[in-house]
Amino acid sequence: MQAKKTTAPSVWKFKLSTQVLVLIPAAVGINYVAKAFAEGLKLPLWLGSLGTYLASMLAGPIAGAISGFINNIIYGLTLSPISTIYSITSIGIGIAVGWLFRKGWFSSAKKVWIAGIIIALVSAIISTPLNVIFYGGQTGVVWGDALFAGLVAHSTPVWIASFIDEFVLDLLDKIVVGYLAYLIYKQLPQKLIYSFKD
Amino acid sequence: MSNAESSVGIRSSWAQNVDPVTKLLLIACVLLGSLLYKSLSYSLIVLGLSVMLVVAARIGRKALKLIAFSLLLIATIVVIQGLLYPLNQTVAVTIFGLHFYREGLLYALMLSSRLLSIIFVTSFFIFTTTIGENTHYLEQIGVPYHTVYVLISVCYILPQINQNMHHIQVAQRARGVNPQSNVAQRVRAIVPILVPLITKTLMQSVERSTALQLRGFNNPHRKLTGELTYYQAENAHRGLILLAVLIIGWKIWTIISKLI
Repeated sequence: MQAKKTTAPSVWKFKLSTQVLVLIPAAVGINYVAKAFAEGLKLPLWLGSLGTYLASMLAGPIAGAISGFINNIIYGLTLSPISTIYSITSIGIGIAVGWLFRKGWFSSAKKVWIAGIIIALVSAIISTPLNVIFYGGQTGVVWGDALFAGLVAHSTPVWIASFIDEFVLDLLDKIVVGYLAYLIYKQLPQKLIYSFKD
Repeated sequence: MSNAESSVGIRSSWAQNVDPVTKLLLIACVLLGSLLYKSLSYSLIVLGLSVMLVVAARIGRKALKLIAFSLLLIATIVVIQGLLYPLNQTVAVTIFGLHFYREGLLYALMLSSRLLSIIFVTSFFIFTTTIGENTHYLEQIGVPYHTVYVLISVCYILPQINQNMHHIQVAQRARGVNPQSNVAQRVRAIVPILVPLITKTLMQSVERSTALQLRGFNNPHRKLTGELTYYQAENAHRGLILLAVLIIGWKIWTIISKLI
């Protein structure tokens, strides 16, 4: 790799400070509330990764990945046992958001949707094998599964149909969550943002 | 995890005398098996064992409530696989002119029994342990207290977030934000509630970190009060780790024997 002369901190720099330690449960809480909001308002989205996005943006990809992983474990051990399986997807989302954020893809509203597409792609690539193993390819969201059934009925291979089902749902969800996280991050007090930087 | 504190030492049921880590390892073994084996008879045996576990622990009714979440999903799996499973050949039943195939229905039965066994085994952990017990025991067996704090504090933060959300909702309604309307308006109604809620949650987390630091959270000489004892905990851990190794080993062996 070519050595850089800049003194910018590494994307992967991570220190489990007390601030990060309390951020992780807060992020899990935000995920939980955002998901409850989406379900309560009957939106065709999950929004359950908002806290993971914010943790990644504030404290980096590793903190985001840990938040995502713990989120699914806690959710799995309290409310919905099956969500434990998707803890691997949440790790992927946390890493992707943290990396994209530190590379400047959340610096303006014009860029956020591209970041959303990349995150949706990461999420769909990791989730598809899990969907095929545990649900026979479905996602559990009715209109996505209707699309899956339509594709399989027209002889599309299960893996491709499952990927399309997951990606279409993820695309909408991850872009909307991306804009929500961007909006919230911009409104956070500077004092708070700096408390997560050494 | 139920909120009631456990009466450590005088536990009423056998399930409470099994330590939390054994229950977690049991979940891990069932997940591992589901991930690696695509066999109907294997899935049915695991389902049978997990049903027996739940019945023996007398938490059947609570576990059934947990299943209610997944019933719609299982129903759609049966319909979609019964109709469209790529290997479908033999018609098993025809309902309203729709052919449900034997192969698809058996595949759906395998998937459903996998999902149900994960739910049952997890409910064994959820309904027979308490937050306080888990915190204490994890730290006792050597899990770093940082990790234990992260895992357990979520359970305490959620009620606080719910309370904050209620305050903000009331305040926004007083300002004229109406949450009951069409989809576009509902999406717009999220922003004035979610943004202050999340900002407040994050601010409170920073305050919490200051409080923890002031109270000596990072002190390396922490002491645990009282030790929890369980029935054959260490042997159970060894046995389940061995089982996990066997599950993986058997899979590797079947792959290698096919290649030879």
